[in-house]
Amino acid sequence: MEFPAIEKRITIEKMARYTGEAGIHTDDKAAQKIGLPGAVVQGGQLVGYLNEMMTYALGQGYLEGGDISVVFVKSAKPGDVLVTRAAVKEQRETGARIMVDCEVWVENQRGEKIAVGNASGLLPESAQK
Amino acid sequence: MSSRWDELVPGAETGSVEFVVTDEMIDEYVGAMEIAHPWFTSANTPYHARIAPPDMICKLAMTPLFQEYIRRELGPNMRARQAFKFFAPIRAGMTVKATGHLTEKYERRGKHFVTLEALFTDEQGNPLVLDKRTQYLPEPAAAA
Repeated sequence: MEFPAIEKRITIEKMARYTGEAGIHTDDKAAQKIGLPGAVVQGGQLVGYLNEMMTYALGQGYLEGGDISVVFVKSAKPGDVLVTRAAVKEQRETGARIMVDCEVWVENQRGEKIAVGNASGLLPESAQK
Repeated sequence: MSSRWDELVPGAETGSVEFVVTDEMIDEYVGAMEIAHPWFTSANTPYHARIAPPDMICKLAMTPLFQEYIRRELGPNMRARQAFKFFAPIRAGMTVKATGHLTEKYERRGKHFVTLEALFTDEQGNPLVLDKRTQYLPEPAAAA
Protein backbone atom coordinates (compact mmCIF):
# COMPACT_ATOMS: atom_id res chain seq x y z
CA MET A 1 0.00 0.00 0.00
CA GLU A 2 1.42 3.31 -1.07
CA PHE A 3 0.09 6.82 -0.60
CA PRO A 4 1.41 8.78 -3.57
CA ALA A 5 2.21 12.42 -2.98
CA ILE A 6 -0.10 14.14 -5.46
CA GLU A 7 1.40 17.47 -6.51
CA LYS A 8 -0.71 20.30 -7.95
CA ARG A 9 0.52 23.67 -9.17
CA ILE A 10 -2.21 26.20 -8.48
CA THR A 11 -3.12 28.96 -10.92
CA ILE A 12 -6.06 31.35 -10.94
CA GLU A 13 -7.19 29.73 -14.20
CA LYS A 14 -7.30 26.30 -12.57
CA MET A 15 -9.17 27.71 -9.57
CA ALA A 16 -11.72 29.34 -11.88
CA ARG A 17 -12.19 26.16 -13.88
CA TYR A 18 -12.83 24.13 -10.72
CA THR A 19 -15.12 26.69 -9.12
CA GLY A 20 -17.07 27.50 -12.25
CA GLU A 21 -18.45 30.79 -10.94
CA ALA A 22 -17.28 34.23 -9.87
CA GLY A 23 -16.53 34.80 -6.20
CA ILE A 24 -13.88 34.53 -3.52
CA HIS A 25 -12.15 31.65 -5.34
CA THR A 26 -11.63 33.64 -8.53
CA ASP A 27 -11.76 37.34 -7.69
CA ASP A 28 -9.34 39.16 -5.35
CA LYS A 29 -11.82 41.99 -4.70
CA ALA A 30 -14.60 39.59 -3.69
CA ALA A 31 -12.18 37.81 -1.34
CA GLN A 32 -10.96 41.08 0.18
CA LYS A 33 -14.55 42.07 1.00
CA ILE A 34 -14.65 39.28 3.56
CA GLY A 35 -11.19 39.93 4.94
CA LEU A 36 -9.05 37.61 2.82
CA PRO A 37 -5.85 38.90 1.17
CA GLY A 38 -6.99 37.64 -2.24
CA ALA A 39 -8.66 34.77 -4.07
CA VAL A 40 -8.24 31.41 -2.28
CA VAL A 41 -8.47 27.81 -3.42
CA GLN A 42 -11.86 26.24 -2.74
CA GLY A 43 -11.84 23.76 0.12
CA GLY A 44 -13.51 21.08 -1.97
CA GLN A 45 -10.62 21.23 -4.41
CA LEU A 46 -8.18 20.36 -1.62
CA VAL A 47 -10.30 17.44 -0.42
CA GLY A 48 -10.55 16.28 -4.02
CA TYR A 49 -6.74 16.03 -4.15
CA LEU A 50 -6.78 13.92 -0.99
CA ASN A 51 -9.51 11.70 -2.45
CA GLU A 52 -7.35 11.14 -5.52
CA MET A 53 -4.46 10.03 -3.28
CA MET A 54 -6.72 7.73 -1.23
CA THR A 55 -8.14 6.16 -4.41
CA TYR A 56 -4.62 5.40 -5.62
CA ALA A 57 -3.76 3.84 -2.25
CA LEU A 58 -6.91 1.87 -1.46
CA GLY A 59 -8.89 1.70 -4.72
CA GLN A 60 -12.28 0.04 -4.28
CA GLY A 61 -11.67 -0.09 -0.54
CA TYR A 62 -11.95 3.69 -0.51
CA LEU A 63 -14.77 4.13 -3.05
CA GLU A 64 -16.95 1.53 -1.28
CA GLY A 65 -16.84 2.38 2.41
CA GLY A 66 -14.08 4.96 2.74
CA ASP A 67 -14.46 8.24 4.53
CA ILE A 68 -12.59 11.48 5.05
CA SER A 69 -12.91 14.48 7.33
CA VAL A 70 -10.79 17.58 6.83
CA VAL A 71 -10.41 20.97 8.51
CA PHE A 72 -9.09 23.92 6.50
CA VAL A 73 -6.41 25.62 8.56
CA LYS A 74 -4.71 27.96 6.10
CA SER A 75 -5.53 29.47 2.72
CA ALA A 76 -4.01 28.23 -0.53
CA LYS A 77 -3.61 30.75 -3.33
CA PRO A 78 -2.46 31.09 -6.93
CA GLY A 79 1.24 30.27 -7.28
CA ASP A 80 1.21 27.67 -4.52
CA VAL A 81 2.47 24.16 -5.15
CA LEU A 82 0.36 21.79 -3.08
CA VAL A 83 1.22 18.22 -2.16
CA THR A 84 -0.96 15.55 -0.52
CA ARG A 85 0.44 13.45 2.32
CA ALA A 86 -0.72 10.55 4.49
CA ALA A 87 0.52 8.65 7.52
CA VAL A 88 -1.06 5.38 8.63
CA LYS A 89 -2.28 5.57 12.22
CA GLU A 90 -3.81 2.15 12.59
CA GLN A 91 -4.85 -0.99 10.75
CA ARG A 92 -7.79 -2.82 12.35
CA GLU A 93 -9.81 -5.88 11.51
CA THR A 94 -13.38 -5.31 10.41
CA GLY A 95 -15.03 -8.62 9.55
CA ALA A 96 -12.80 -10.39 7.07
CA ARG A 97 -11.15 -7.16 5.92
CA ILE A 98 -8.66 -4.69 7.33
CA MET A 99 -9.54 -1.04 7.74
CA VAL A 100 -6.72 1.49 7.42
CA ASP A 101 -6.97 4.72 9.40
CA CYS A 102 -4.73 7.57 8.26
CA GLU A 103 -3.85 11.11 9.05
CA VAL A 104 -4.03 13.07 5.82
CA TRP A 105 -3.06 16.58 4.92
CA VAL A 106 -2.28 18.97 2.10
CA GLU A 107 0.85 21.10 2.44
CA ASN A 108 2.24 23.96 0.42
CA GLN A 109 5.72 24.57 -0.98
CA ARG A 110 6.86 25.91 2.40
CA GLY A 111 5.74 22.73 4.15
CA GLU A 112 2.83 24.54 5.80
CA LYS A 113 -0.27 22.42 6.31
CA ILE A 114 -3.29 23.84 4.47
CA ALA A 115 -5.88 21.16 5.21
CA VAL A 116 -5.59 18.44 7.85
CA GLY A 117 -7.76 15.52 8.83
CA ASN A 118 -8.36 11.80 8.84
CA ALA A 119 -9.30 9.28 6.20
CA SER A 120 -10.12 5.57 6.31
CA GLY A 121 -10.73 2.78 3.87
CA LEU A 122 -10.48 -0.96 3.44
CA LEU A 123 -7.12 -2.40 2.52
CA PRO A 124 -7.24 -3.93 -0.98
CA GLU A 125 -7.79 -7.71 -0.78
CA SER A 126 -4.55 -8.27 -2.69
CA ALA A 127 -2.65 -6.44 0.06
CA GLN A 128 -4.19 -8.54 2.84
CA LYS A 129 -2.84 -11.89 1.72
CA MET B 1 -24.35 39.07 11.65
CA SER B 2 -27.79 39.80 10.25
CA SER B 3 -30.94 38.97 12.20
CA ARG B 4 -31.37 36.12 9.68
CA TRP B 5 -28.95 34.18 11.87
CA ASP B 6 -31.49 34.06 14.70
CA GLU B 7 -34.18 32.81 12.33
CA LEU B 8 -32.16 29.86 11.02
CA VAL B 9 -33.70 26.59 12.14
CA PRO B 10 -31.62 23.38 12.22
CA GLY B 11 -33.42 20.77 10.14
CA ALA B 12 -34.39 23.27 7.43
CA GLU B 13 -34.22 21.98 3.87
CA THR B 14 -31.65 23.92 1.85
CA GLY B 15 -32.21 22.56 -1.65
CA SER B 16 -32.47 19.44 -3.75
CA VAL B 17 -30.96 18.11 -6.97
CA GLU B 18 -31.45 15.28 -9.43
CA PHE B 19 -29.24 14.83 -12.46
CA VAL B 20 -27.63 12.29 -14.75
CA VAL B 21 -23.86 11.87 -14.49
CA THR B 22 -22.42 12.25 -17.96
CA ASP B 23 -19.02 11.57 -19.52
CA GLU B 24 -18.79 15.30 -20.24
CA MET B 25 -19.18 16.13 -16.53
CA ILE B 26 -16.45 13.67 -15.65
CA ASP B 27 -14.19 15.01 -18.42
CA GLU B 28 -14.59 18.56 -17.14
CA TYR B 29 -14.03 17.64 -13.49
CA VAL B 30 -11.02 15.44 -14.22
CA GLY B 31 -9.59 18.22 -16.40
CA ALA B 32 -10.13 20.92 -13.78
CA MET B 33 -8.57 18.76 -11.06
CA GLU B 34 -5.83 17.37 -13.32
CA ILE B 35 -6.67 13.86 -12.17
CA ALA B 36 -4.72 11.10 -13.88
CA HIS B 37 -6.19 8.03 -12.17
CA PRO B 38 -7.23 5.66 -15.01
CA TRP B 39 -10.54 4.68 -13.39
CA PHE B 40 -11.76 8.25 -13.93
CA THR B 41 -10.56 8.57 -17.50
CA SER B 42 -11.69 5.32 -19.15
CA ALA B 43 -14.15 2.45 -18.79
CA ASN B 44 -11.31 0.08 -17.95
CA THR B 45 -12.22 -0.20 -14.26
CA PRO B 46 -13.15 -3.01 -11.85
CA TYR B 47 -16.76 -1.88 -12.39
CA HIS B 48 -16.60 -2.40 -16.17
CA ALA B 49 -17.74 1.20 -16.62
CA ARG B 50 -16.26 4.63 -16.34
CA ILE B 51 -16.70 6.13 -12.90
CA ALA B 52 -16.55 9.67 -11.55
CA PRO B 53 -14.16 10.91 -8.86
CA PRO B 54 -16.05 10.20 -5.64
CA ASP B 55 -16.57 13.84 -4.63
CA MET B 56 -17.55 15.09 -8.11
CA ILE B 57 -21.31 14.94 -7.69
CA CYS B 58 -21.05 16.90 -4.44
CA LYS B 59 -19.12 19.67 -6.20
CA LEU B 60 -21.60 19.81 -9.08
CA ALA B 61 -24.56 19.96 -6.69
CA MET B 62 -23.03 22.38 -4.19
CA THR B 63 -24.69 25.57 -5.43
CA PRO B 64 -28.32 24.36 -5.71
CA LEU B 65 -28.03 22.14 -2.64
CA PHE B 66 -26.40 24.54 -0.22
CA GLN B 67 -24.91 27.75 -1.58
CA GLU B 68 -28.06 29.40 -2.93
CA TYR B 69 -29.65 28.95 0.48
CA ILE B 70 -26.67 30.21 2.52
CA ARG B 71 -26.01 33.19 0.29
CA ARG B 72 -29.70 34.15 0.35
CA GLU B 73 -30.06 33.74 4.10
CA LEU B 74 -26.61 34.73 5.36
CA GLY B 75 -24.37 36.05 2.61
CA PRO B 76 -20.72 35.20 1.85
CA ASN B 77 -19.34 32.07 3.46
CA MET B 78 -16.26 29.87 3.45
CA ARG B 79 -15.78 26.19 4.07
CA ALA B 80 -14.26 25.43 7.45
CA ARG B 81 -14.62 21.65 7.49
CA GLN B 82 -15.55 18.95 4.96
CA ALA B 83 -16.38 15.29 5.45
CA PHE B 84 -17.41 12.61 2.97
CA LYS B 85 -18.48 9.02 3.42
CA PHE B 86 -18.36 6.97 0.21
CA PHE B 87 -20.74 4.03 -0.16
CA ALA B 88 -20.57 3.06 -3.84
CA PRO B 89 -18.90 4.18 -7.07
CA ILE B 90 -20.68 6.70 -9.28
CA ARG B 91 -20.94 5.38 -12.82
CA ALA B 92 -21.34 7.49 -15.93
CA GLY B 93 -25.01 7.39 -16.97
CA MET B 94 -26.28 7.03 -13.42
CA THR B 95 -29.06 9.32 -12.10
CA VAL B 96 -28.19 10.79 -8.71
CA LYS B 97 -30.43 12.59 -6.22
CA ALA B 98 -29.88 14.52 -3.00
CA THR B 99 -31.65 16.84 -0.61
CA GLY B 100 -29.64 19.18 1.59
CA HIS B 101 -30.39 20.14 5.16
CA LEU B 102 -28.99 22.61 7.64
CA THR B 103 -28.18 20.33 10.56
CA GLU B 104 -26.50 22.66 13.02
CA LYS B 105 -25.65 26.28 13.70
CA TYR B 106 -23.21 27.43 16.34
CA GLU B 107 -21.04 30.27 17.50
CA ARG B 108 -17.41 29.78 18.51
CA ARG B 109 -15.13 32.58 19.69
CA GLY B 110 -17.59 35.10 18.32
CA LYS B 111 -17.72 33.50 14.88
CA HIS B 112 -20.78 31.93 13.29
CA PHE B 113 -20.81 28.50 11.64
CA VAL B 114 -23.46 26.34 9.98
CA THR B 115 -23.25 22.63 9.21
CA LEU B 116 -25.01 21.23 6.15
CA GLU B 117 -25.54 17.66 5.08
CA ALA B 118 -26.81 15.75 2.04
CA LEU B 119 -26.99 12.05 1.27
CA PHE B 120 -26.66 11.32 -2.44
CA THR B 121 -28.49 8.21 -3.66
CA ASP B 122 -29.10 6.47 -6.94
CA GLU B 123 -32.57 6.14 -8.49
CA GLN B 124 -33.34 3.11 -6.31
CA GLY B 125 -32.43 4.99 -3.17
CA ASN B 126 -29.12 3.23 -2.60
CA PRO B 127 -26.62 5.51 -0.83
CA LEU B 128 -23.69 6.81 -2.84
CA VAL B 129 -22.05 9.65 -0.91
CA LEU B 130 -22.75 11.44 2.35
CA ASP B 131 -21.55 15.07 2.18
CA LYS B 132 -21.21 16.95 5.45
CA ARG B 133 -19.70 20.41 5.45
CA THR B 134 -19.32 23.30 7.88
CA GLN B 135 -19.33 26.85 6.55
CA TYR B 136 -17.85 29.86 8.33
CA LEU B 137 -19.80 33.09 7.96
CA PRO B 138 -17.42 36.06 7.96
CA GLU B 139 -18.73 39.57 8.43
CA PRO B 140 -18.23 41.44 5.15
CA ALA B 141 -15.15 43.63 5.72
CA ALA B 142 -16.57 46.42 3.58
CA ALA B 143 -19.70 46.61 5.68
CA ALA B 144 -17.86 46.51 9.02
